[in-house]
Amino acid sequence: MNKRVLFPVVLFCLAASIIATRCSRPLRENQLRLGIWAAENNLWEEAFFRWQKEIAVRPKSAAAHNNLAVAMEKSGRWEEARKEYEAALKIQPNNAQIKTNYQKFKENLESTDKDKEQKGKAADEKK
Amino acid sequence: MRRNRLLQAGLFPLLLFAWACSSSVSYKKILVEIPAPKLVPLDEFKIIAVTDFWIAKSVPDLDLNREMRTYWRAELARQFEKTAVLVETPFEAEPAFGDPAFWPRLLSDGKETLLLTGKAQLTQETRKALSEDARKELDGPFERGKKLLERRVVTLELSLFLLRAETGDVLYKKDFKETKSFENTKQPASFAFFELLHKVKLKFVRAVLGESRAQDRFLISE
Repeated sequence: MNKRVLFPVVLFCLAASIIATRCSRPLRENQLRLGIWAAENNLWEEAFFRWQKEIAVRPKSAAAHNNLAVAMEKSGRWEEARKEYEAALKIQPNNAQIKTNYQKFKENLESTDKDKEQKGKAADEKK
Repeated sequence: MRRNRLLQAGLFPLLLFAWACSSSVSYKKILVEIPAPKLVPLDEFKIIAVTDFWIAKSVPDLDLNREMRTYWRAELARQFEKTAVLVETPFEAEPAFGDPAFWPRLLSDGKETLLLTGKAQLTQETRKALSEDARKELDGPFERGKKLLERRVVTLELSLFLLRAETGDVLYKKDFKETKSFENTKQPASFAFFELLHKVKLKFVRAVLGESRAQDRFLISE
């Protein structure tokens, strides 16, 4: 093939592939983004539904697991939140945002654990 | 030749546009009202019974036990939205708060009753401290001893227990220690007592009710 024609064709294919792969991301991420929009507007049930739907389609989505964990925390479902955070970290162990969220989640529970320890000590006092 | 160059010139902006279009914010930091875990199943109880408090050392001009009982009865009824009553449980010695066998015998009918009990101690002491001015003048050797200020420090140490009256099981136990200091060394301890008690109440109620607090969390969009 003529070199003069080949170069523009390769360039065009490259541009087309970038558009196809990168610009199509928002379409794929619709559920995640809709969920975030819902959460920002305090529609947590809607957000919960969107992120669950995302996990059903893409179980390996660390973002969806992380967001769902936040929704679980919001509704006081601690054990489920822990599982979701752990699932997210298993997929993306070095994600700084997920690690920060998980750390704060544990800190929130920490004070309660200390209180429970005190309660246990009180029960042991007599034994 | 010229057509090809034009084509190439048009494709470069297209590539740039494609790249720019692909960049997006990957996470958002939002403020979420997150509850703290509830420590006591308050729904299981209809009545809150406030017992006597064990006071190791009495305070002049202040009936610590009576004041505490009255305060906690009113506050728990308001905060927990339950009926709160006082029960007479005069202690001859420090009760075994953690002993489940001790409490059921004090109440004839402890069904659906949450028991609040505990021990309290209010201490006061005079402490000496360097005043702000004195710290600045430490270079002057003759000023040091003159700027020592005396302060009255009042400390409330309070151990609170929430128990299931029917079985005597400890549902919640926490030790609190609050301190307040006064410049007036003749200030009576009773002056600080209610302020210290109020501080304890805020912490106690927040812990038991699992009140929510606004916290930062990241939401990720990939």
